[in-house]
Amino acid sequence: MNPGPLLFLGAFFALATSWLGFVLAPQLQLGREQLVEIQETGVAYPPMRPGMARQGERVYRANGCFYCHTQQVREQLYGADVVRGWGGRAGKVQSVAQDYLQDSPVMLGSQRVGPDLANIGLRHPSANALLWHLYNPRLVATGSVMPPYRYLFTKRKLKPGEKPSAEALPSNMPGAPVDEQIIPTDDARALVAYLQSLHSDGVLFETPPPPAPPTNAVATASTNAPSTKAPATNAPATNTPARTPTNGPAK
Amino acid sequence: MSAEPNKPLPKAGDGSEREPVVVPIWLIGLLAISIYWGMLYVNDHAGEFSAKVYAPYPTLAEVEAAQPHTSGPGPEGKKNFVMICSTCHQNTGLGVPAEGKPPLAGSEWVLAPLPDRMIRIALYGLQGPITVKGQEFGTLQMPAWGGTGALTNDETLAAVLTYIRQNKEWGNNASAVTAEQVKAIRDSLVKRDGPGNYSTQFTVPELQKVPDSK
Amino acid sequence: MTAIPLTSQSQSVAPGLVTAPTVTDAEIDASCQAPILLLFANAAVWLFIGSVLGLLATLKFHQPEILANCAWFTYGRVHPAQMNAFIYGFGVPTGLAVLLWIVCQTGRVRLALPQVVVAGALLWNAGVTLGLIGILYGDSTGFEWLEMPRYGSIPMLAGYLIIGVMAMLTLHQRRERALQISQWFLLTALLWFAWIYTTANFLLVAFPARGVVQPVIDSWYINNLTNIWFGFIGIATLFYLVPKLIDNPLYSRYLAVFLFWTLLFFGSWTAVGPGAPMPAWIPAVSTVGTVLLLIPTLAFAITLKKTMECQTQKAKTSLPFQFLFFAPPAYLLSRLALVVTSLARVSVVTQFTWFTPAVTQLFLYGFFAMTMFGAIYYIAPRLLGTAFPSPKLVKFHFSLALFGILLYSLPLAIGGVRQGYALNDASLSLQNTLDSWLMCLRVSTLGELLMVLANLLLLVNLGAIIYCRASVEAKAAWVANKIAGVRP
Repeated sequence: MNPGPLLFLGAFFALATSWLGFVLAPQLQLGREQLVEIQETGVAYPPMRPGMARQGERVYRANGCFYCHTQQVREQLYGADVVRGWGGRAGKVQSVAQDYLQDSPVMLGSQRVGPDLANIGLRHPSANALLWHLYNPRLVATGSVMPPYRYLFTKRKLKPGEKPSAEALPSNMPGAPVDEQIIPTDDARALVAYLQSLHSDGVLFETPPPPAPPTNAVATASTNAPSTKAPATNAPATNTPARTPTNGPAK
Repeated sequence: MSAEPNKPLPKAGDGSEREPVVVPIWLIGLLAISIYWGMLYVNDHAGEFSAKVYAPYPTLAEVEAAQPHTSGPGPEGKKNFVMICSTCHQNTGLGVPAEGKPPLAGSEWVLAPLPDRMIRIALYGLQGPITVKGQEFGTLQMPAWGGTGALTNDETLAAVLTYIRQNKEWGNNASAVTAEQVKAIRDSLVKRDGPGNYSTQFTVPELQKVPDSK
Repeated sequence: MTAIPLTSQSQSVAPGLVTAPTVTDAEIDASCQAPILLLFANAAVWLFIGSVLGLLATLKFHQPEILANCAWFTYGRVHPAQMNAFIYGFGVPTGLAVLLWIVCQTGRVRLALPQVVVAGALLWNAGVTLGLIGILYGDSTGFEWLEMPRYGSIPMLAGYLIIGVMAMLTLHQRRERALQISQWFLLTALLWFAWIYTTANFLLVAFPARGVVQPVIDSWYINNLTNIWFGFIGIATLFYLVPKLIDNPLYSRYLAVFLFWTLLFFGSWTAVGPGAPMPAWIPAVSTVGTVLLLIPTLAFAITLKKTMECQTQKAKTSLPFQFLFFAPPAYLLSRLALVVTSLARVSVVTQFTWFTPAVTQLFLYGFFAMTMFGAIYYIAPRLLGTAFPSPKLVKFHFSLALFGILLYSLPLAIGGVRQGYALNDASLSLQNTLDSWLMCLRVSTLGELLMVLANLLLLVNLGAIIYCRASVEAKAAWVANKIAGVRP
């Protein structure tokens, strides 16, 4: 009996199950997810990135930022992400599939030489701070091993008496060159726009808030004056924050 | 090289066939145990293969149960609360403790996981003493509302109780009350005073026999 | 090498084939010579280039300003260039070369259409070159181990398919019809790479899937490449060469078959780690697959340990055997580390740290590359009919490679664990966590340097043997011409 064809079939079947399980099944289950509307704001989630941010996504990819930075927040029991303030969601902080619908490619990253960037849009709104960080990380964070991205900027010597152009980086950064102006290129601005657009804070069906601890505290958000002899406890309410939106399951 | 490297050789010299060596039995045992462990692990951690279940929730039902309770009582709830209940318990839900009117905001009688006790109080009224949030209300008397006006309707009563239990401004966030729950309790207590009659108030020792959580 | 004509086995030659005269080893080797040596030579060059790029990448952690002003050499481009050069410049071509040679030898058949195989190898090489230039230029696709842009990956796939078809053709023409266990591994790997590479490029680059499905497929590809391609080819090479070198048969065919099926199933069922941003079932199933890799790892360790028991004296004098001796422990250690770190409690510490690349490098270099070095040092003299001119340099290569990989992966693994604890301690700012691993990385740079030198020695040795052979032929031709009176 020639075992060749049987062997082939067996191996084919074994490997096909792997393909079915990790390629086909996720594609069927997750590949057609649609945008979800957040009830409270009526905005679709995740929001489409503005044009400059989409250009920035390409710069992020081309320069391999994801080899040192992740874009996935882990649950409390899997790491200190929440405690480090890398989360952004009012509910379950972990990143979920819905957060990545507008990303192409999805650059989750696999190393944390630098901080997680999933919610950096919620932490560093200042464009100039990010630009300086890109120009020379050691100006902003001493001892950092992040490479400088000076090729994303152009340097021009200032003639005596010349004022720096409006597009140049502000020169009040300690350690910055004094007689030169540093002008970010379009790529640098796009990258910063992309970073500022990074946030995964939509509260979804699959990210319910953690259960509120039982409490007997009095709410302080009352609008009517209570009677004069009301007990004067002022403990804040510890239940879910008022602005928490929720959605029905996205089908 | 005269030997096929991958087939067993006969032992040199003695002409006997070498026994084929099979897989060690402990390795097969380990494989079986590992597969069993794998199945248990998948059972516990795979979240029923649902697209909406993320670690560490084990099932979709738990994700649903964890959703914040903002299904809302509807406008009937607030309207009737203001008309009927706020006279004593105030719009702020803080009551007037000096006059023996306990608060509803943050009250453990309101926020219990099961609304069974609260429904009884609303239907038949309450005869004190009762302790609410650590404060004793000795001479409290709450009238029955089960047979009065709008609250004879199960839906309306459920809406009012839901409004009280889910009032965010007061810091309340408990589960909603359904008309079915109200009807079920109303029907089960019909022998107390007869149909449509709600004259015997509940007391705290009686209520404490009623479970307030699963 | 004296040719030993084999008597035909009890299995008959395939019906329809004329019972051709048996093929000698010399004829087989002569047919394989050009394509396999070309693949080896290309691979050695890319290995060296890749390791230089890797050294540059590591040096940037010592001094971030190194070559920083040139976009082509920023860390985010040099690092993927290094990985791709290793995997596709060295890993896959040597695997293919060894596959072709073993298929010919075990099938007792000449390589089919060697010129076509050469064309395939050149096409593959062109793809790798274009792809690497593309990565350094900035056209990376954004997917780990698949960064090569289309203009690199398409020629590579075409070259691979050409070589693959020739391998299958050779197999079809084999005289020895029974399939040996090595061939099981090799052929499965051959076909599976085509499948995973095509799927991954199709669903990630050509028609990208939506959202988080992309990293699932990427991780699936990476793990399958590691376990099925590199694992299977390495195992097959060891199962073929070790018994030959120590003149002792493989310990147990049944155990090898058991290893084949368990590694096939569990090795392919690994993808993402715990805590990943996907529905819980994907990391859960993946964790089960990874933990179950323990079984084939043990089977592999037992097979080789028992095979090599008490026989190693014969092989101590053999140059290739030193490399092959180190490979199984590296496999065992790296796979055990993988199994342990796939559990959620451990991955809390090791995920996203240097521990993962340390283990991956231990596997890729300590297991696969060492096995391939052993294979190169075994096959090349047979193809060229002459020994390596300097055995001392070969031994030196082994020492450098051994100390290189140990000095690279062990400190980096320790650094990774320390980094993990530091990252989980939220009272430490991220800058302060650098202290936990920067020194370990600097030590591992020494290991990287040793590996660069080792890879250089491989180039030197290969170059030397080819030159030696070429110069022998040139001398013989020159002598013959002189005798014939032809003017040179």
